[in-house]
Amino acid sequence: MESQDTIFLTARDLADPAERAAYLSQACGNDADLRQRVETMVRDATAAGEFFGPEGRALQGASVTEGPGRVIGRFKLLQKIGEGGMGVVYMAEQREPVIRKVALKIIKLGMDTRLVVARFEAERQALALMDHPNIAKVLDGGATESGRPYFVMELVPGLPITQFCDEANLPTRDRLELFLEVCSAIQHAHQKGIIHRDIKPSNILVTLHGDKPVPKVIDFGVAKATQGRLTEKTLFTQFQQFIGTPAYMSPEQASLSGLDIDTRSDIYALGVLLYELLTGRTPFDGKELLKAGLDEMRRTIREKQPPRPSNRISTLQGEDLTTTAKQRRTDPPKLIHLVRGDLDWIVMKALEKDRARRYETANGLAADIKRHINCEPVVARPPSAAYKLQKAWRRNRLVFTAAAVVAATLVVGITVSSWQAIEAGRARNAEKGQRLAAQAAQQAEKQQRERAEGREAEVSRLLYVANMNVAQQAWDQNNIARLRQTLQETQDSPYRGFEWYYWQPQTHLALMTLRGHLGPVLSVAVSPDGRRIATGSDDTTARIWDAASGRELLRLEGHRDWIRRVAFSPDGRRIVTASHDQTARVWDVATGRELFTLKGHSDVVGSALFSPDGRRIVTGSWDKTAKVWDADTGRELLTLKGQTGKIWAAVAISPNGQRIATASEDSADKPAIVWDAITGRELLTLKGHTDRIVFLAFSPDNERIATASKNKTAILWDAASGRELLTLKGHTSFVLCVSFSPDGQWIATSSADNTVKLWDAATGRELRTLKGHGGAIAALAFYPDGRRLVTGSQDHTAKVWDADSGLSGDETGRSLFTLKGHSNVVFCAAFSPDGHRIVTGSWDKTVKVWDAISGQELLTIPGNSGEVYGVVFSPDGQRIVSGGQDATAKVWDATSGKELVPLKGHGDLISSVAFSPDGRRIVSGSADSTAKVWDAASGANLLTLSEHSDAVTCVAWSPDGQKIVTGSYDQTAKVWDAGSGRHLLTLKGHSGRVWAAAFSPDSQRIVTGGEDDTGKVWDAVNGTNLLTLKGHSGWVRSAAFSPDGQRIVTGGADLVAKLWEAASGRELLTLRGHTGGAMAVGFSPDGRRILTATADHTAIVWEAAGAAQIAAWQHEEQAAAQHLATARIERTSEQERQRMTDARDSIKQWLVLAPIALGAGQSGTEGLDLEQIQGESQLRPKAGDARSIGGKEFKWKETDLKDWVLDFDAMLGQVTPNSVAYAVCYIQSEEEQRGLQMLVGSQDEAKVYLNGKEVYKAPLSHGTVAVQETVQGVVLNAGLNTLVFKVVNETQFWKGSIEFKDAMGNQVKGVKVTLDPEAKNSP
Amino acid sequence: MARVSQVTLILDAIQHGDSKAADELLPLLYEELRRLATHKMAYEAPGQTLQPTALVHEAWLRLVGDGDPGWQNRAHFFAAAAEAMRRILVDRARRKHALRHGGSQVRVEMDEPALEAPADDEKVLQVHDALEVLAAEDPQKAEIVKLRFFGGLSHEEIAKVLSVNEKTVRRHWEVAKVRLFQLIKAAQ
Repeated sequence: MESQDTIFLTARDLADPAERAAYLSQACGNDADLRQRVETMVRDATAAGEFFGPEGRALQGASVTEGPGRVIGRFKLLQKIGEGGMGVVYMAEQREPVIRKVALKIIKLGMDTRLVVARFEAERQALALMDHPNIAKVLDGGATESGRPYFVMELVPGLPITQFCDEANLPTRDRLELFLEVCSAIQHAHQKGIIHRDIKPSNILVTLHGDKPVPKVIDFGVAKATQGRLTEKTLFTQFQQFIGTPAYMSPEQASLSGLDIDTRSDIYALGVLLYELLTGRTPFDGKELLKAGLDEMRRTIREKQPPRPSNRISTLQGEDLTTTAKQRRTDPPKLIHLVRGDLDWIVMKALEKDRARRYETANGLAADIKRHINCEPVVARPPSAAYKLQKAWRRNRLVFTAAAVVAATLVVGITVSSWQAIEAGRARNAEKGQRLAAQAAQQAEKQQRERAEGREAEVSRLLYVANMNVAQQAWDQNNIARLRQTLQETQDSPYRGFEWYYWQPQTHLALMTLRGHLGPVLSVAVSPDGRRIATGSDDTTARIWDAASGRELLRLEGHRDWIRRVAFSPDGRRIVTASHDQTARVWDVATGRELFTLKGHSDVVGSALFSPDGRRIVTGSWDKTAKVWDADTGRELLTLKGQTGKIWAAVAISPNGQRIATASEDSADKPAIVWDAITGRELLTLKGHTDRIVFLAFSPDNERIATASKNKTAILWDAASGRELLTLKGHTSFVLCVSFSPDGQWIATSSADNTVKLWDAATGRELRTLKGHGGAIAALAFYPDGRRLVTGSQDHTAKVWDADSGLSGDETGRSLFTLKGHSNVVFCAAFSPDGHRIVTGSWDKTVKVWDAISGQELLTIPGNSGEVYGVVFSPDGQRIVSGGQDATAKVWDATSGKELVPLKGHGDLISSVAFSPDGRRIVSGSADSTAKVWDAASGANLLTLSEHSDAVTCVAWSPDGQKIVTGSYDQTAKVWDAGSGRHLLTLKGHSGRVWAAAFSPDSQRIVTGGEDDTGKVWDAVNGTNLLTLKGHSGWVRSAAFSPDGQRIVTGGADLVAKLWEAASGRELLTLRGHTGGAMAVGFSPDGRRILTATADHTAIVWEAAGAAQIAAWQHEEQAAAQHLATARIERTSEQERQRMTDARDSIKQWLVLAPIALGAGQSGTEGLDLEQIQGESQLRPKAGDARSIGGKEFKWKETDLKDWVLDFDAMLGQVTPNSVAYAVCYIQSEEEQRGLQMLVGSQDEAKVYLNGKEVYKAPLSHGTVAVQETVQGVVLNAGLNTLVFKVVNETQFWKGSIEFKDAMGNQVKGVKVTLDPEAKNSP
Repeated sequence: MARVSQVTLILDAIQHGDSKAADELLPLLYEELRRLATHKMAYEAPGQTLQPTALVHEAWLRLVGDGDPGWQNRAHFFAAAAEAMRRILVDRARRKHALRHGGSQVRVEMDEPALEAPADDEKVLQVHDALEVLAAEDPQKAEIVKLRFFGGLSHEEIAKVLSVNEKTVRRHWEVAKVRLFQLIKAAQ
């Protein structure tokens, strides 16, 4: 049987009967039956095929397929004109009532036709009401015989708007005009109650009326009829099948939140369209979105902030960028500039995630664009930083939530490196959080949601706490940038408190920030009179600033590469700069004029400075030499050779001018050398650093040298003997710069650890750390008065610092001030009730009153005969009560210091005192194990509280006046009825002596601290231990609630004060700076300050910034950021211009023939291929030669260029698109030169012939002239060479350039450009 | 859900050599396919047609689920489904036929699946009858026709169900078509 089948199948496939017969004879041989069977089968095969049909299935899909020729309703399909994800569009003919051509769109199978048609019918009346020149009318709709929905619309022969704009190279302005018409159409529809729902380029076709492009919006009603409501289930398929691109989908459409789509969804899509018209890209790439999967896609659309249009353009790469610009008939810098600002904001407003923040109407959007066109202020404004942050918080709440759960377990009660965990947690949980959220939303029942919201509040609180730990960590690691970021991220948290406001000023510790450089500041100098600051940067500029105001005065421009060092002359009139461009330059400070250039080094010049007499300049270079120059003439006087490695930036001259010190990065051999400044003789070698020395400095008395090294230390040397005197250790990264203060007492070092440290020059003791830069600090310099210093950093700024504030004690961070005056431990301290004064009590047996604003000492009360342990103001601020070693408490007049009444009765020292809230009574605690209540006026002992079994250490009166709490050596605290003295509660829990006790402002809670290193929070009514504050590594000596009850501050014997969240007991902040244990702590009445009294004889006031101050800082920084952004863009275009004019060796003489009209319909590439002049490769014209092209007379014109760019528009005096130009020159070479490079730059299609041969061809333009392509291996003959440069211009501008270089990239020698084809070889 | 396990159990039983089980599968599938077809037509617009392929695959998902029970089971299932489909189509064609030829009193059941066969009822019956003959001549070819014509399976699927290569399926199909055509012609 098998063989019969095979024979049949083979025979069937043989078309030629003769061939088939021959085959059958051979295959069947003598078997006549077989042959006959097969022949019958072959004969029946065709009929059998027809019988079964192509499918061969009993049931088939739609057998009725629509196609040209078929009639649907009143319409006859003519031809297919489009096909998309949703269906097929035919051009169709309507016969009645009128004969016309229409577009008929048949929706693909797979939809519920009945529903689609029903929805369409419902919308039909409204659709009929639309009458607008930019709307394609919807004529009909229904179902085909095969059950597919169809829509009939006005036929619009045209291209999608984006394609049209790009193909027509429409400038931005024209695109905006088209877009305005689209807005007008959408506005009209909205007024008729129709929402389009699917605005995208393919639904906006541009058709030409005459030569005027008219956009028409098509498909109104289609989306509504076909989409219905998106659900989780249908979303993805609908995306792919019907919507095509999710790039135009609004967040509310993507969110499936059940929100009805409204007109603002169309506004969003208009925003996307405008974005694409401006940038050529959609805010999110449609394909990427689909690829990322449904969840991620929805997350992106709902949460991710797209880049602003101008940013988007500026991040386009090479070809893309130039193409995008060219399609808008401009160049990249101009395009970016054009879109930046208004248009950015307009687009971003339309694209707001929250639809309530979008333009309310299409008209509103259009009006803003018109305002932009008319240069009026637009409504869309850059959203404030606060608003943006608020959004970030909202947007990421779920992510934050998930992260916080992770973080919280890490954070609670312990000091952990939580910020890395949060970082990781955020990333890890972002996706998960979203998924969980989506699931939750699906089954959202009200109850559940409420519970979830409660949890969410809790986790966002946790997150805030975690963030504050991050802030602390960042500060401790000198990571100010991170600290700032953390503060920004928490800016809208409702849980902010003292700690958040406290960190603000810590990020603004410098007196002044000099902003303007576009790159790291590598060097700083202060003029000898202290009035000017000079900075040098890797942005190739040096700048001069007013040292008082921080205003930029002058910009020194000329260096081609980074400036590594700047220095003033001793008279302050000149500046020398050292640069990576291998030169040093001398400038006039008053005018900014360059005086001369010191050329001679063969590598980076890392340092340059004037001799103290101003007559010489010393430079050091990476070429391993130092040189001495005449400072007036620039003549080289001396070269110091001896270093075996690069001299990085380490050159110094002794103040007496006699010696020069240099150091090299070769630390093994001769790390640092001291030279005789006059003779250049080597005097001394300094050995000791284990890594390279990057900087060095002489002491003012010439006797010491300080070196800064990569090994994280600075070393102090005896300049005469080379002996190592001191090593300054403390930085955690490279030390980059070192300087002596003018009086020689301090040394300042700056480091890659982002800090500056001040050291005692005699002892090497570390005095202070300055934090605030967001990057490595490359340079520092003292003001001549030694009181301030200026630093330059990787973070692009220079900062001015107060060098001597708080040099003792306050080593890190800036507290408001330190109260200095006591000569022994300050054991107690308190604010006056109005916050204006502070009272302190000390073991020096005095009580002092201070001004809380200025820190000034107001009063000393010497009346105690022993150490003072307790002191407070009366509630009216008029009196002070103190108690101490002498067992007698005394009431004093707070103003005069006069003793008013003594409280006598305790049998041992008084440890603590407190007033009742009404000021009438006083309670005191004593080592006699009792507390006593006194009449504040008479001094009569009213009550004695005696349940404690050991010394009472602390007492406090509840704010409601009802209770008193006492703490004791007996490890308990006790609560008493203040009126009766009845013992109410015993707070048991501490495993050591209790040292501190205080009430919350609402009198409901009590905080205690003890020798078990913990603080504890108790319920003041029932005595339950609510929380334990764990974090101190020493006794908790003091504790207090903040006035709002949200925070607790504790002071420890571990020398720090800590701030806690009162509700949760989580640690928020650590205040470091004390050198002694914190004996007392307290908040100012306004909650903005914390007072700590310490064993180091001082009290410190720590202040949080006010809202106004924070706003001012933010404003300043925003303004600076905007200013810098503008400067950056200007610099980019400036650089391009610079590069053009820099190429001075290029061909500047040409014979030009132009503009020759490009043939009709020719593209630039075609025009380039065709010979526009016969024999163009062999052109050899003379100036004035005439040529007739296309009936027009052209003459070869001589052209002399200012720079090296052939700007045909400029030459022709007009803009001439669709044109061809020829430029010819003759290059005379003394000898044959091989292996040359030819650099060609062109904004258009270009071709170069050299001596009749094509050597270069670019069928596509590559943007700017500065982007040159290099042709290798070019040969110039001896004698005259002919160069023909052909350029084809399709759109507006056309430019070109050519230059020759030798193989090394240097100027070609022995060549001359001439315009004379007969020129003889020059002699 | 009971049905799912039932079908799976039956398929397992068939695989373990219980030939009776196959007889249980058929009515189950017949019912399911009929139900599906009827149900679908009730919710689709008039004029919409159903593809047996879609029906069979949907039945598979409903009765067996997403898990892969192995190709052996799958083969049994599709073979049974194709047979079920054949019966549905033939039954319907017979009824319609009867209706047209004077049986005007025959009441068409309300849940008659509105399957629209472009290959008309006549053809369904003709193929059905001829297939009996072909089955005697060449059972494998007849099986392929059943899977293809009634079950709506693709060549590739048939190849898998029958564990032969796809090329063989194509060849058999080409020959079977001609042979059936000749048989039908002869019957007229």
